[in-house]
Amino acid sequence: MPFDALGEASDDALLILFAGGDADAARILTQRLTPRVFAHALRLLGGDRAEAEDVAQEAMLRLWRVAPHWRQGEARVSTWLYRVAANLCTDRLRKARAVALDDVAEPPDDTPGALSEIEDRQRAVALNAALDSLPHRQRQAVVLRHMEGLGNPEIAEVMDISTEAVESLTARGKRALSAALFGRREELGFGDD
Amino acid sequence: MTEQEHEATGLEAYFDAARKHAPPPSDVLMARVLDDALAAQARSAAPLPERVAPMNDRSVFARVMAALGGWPAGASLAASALVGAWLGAYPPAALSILSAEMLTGAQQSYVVDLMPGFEIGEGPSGEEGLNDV
Repeated sequence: MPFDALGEASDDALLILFAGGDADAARILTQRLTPRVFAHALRLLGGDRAEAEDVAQEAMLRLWRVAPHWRQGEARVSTWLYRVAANLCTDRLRKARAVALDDVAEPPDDTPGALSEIEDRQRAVALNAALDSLPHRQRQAVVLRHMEGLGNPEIAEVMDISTEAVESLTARGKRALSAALFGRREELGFGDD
Repeated sequence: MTEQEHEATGLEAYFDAARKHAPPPSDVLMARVLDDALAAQARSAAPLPERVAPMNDRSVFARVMAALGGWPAGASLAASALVGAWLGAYPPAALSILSAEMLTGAQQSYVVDLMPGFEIGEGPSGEEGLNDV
């Protein structure tokens, strides 16, 4: 199968090809899934980039190992990966090497000038800081729902809880986020609303 | 906090901004992950070493067969058992006569003295020193 066509294939199909020794499938899965699992780990770990990279590599390594035994249709690859990453993050957070988000350097702004772009970046940083102040499970539920775009049943599967519990966690998490961000409205470009 | 205040924070705008500015993984991480992937493929493609079952994993039957001398000995034993069972169920005529005579005592038995001059316990005459007690 040509490389371009492989890019359209589902994660499940690519994992089958990967298990069969297809190097292109390995490349596409790496490009497709690593950024997602890394970003997810980074959010759950409060911005600790080094830890998030380790978690992402370990989660992907587990995916490569499980590939030959993967049972089609039992779980989505992304759901499985989020769950593995979340468990790895929980283990690391238990070891408590928390880094304050303010200490994490912001990525350099390559496109200066646009005010909205600057505001966007500031909002992203403010949200991450607010997320970091949430209890771990609330943060995980909010991130999966509103950042990764998963549905409640899928989040329930990732977190091994009921959908009602997911709804409760996300509702409480959003209330806490709103409270944390309310005082910074003007600073973050919501002053005219 | 009221619903109005919730709306005022514009949470969705924050989520949009955070999604747009999701930090990308470094090239080093991408290379490490791909290396792991290719290494895992190479490992699973390598031929597995031939596995010899240890004694503990073998069934009782297999272990008994091995003790008897393997499949050739087992086959001989099975063939002998079948022949025995066959002879028991359908004996040849000669064998039937012989066994009937032995069981009923119809045939008398005779003792034939092949060395009438030899007395047990005395030994041949004129040879002293043998079997002296």
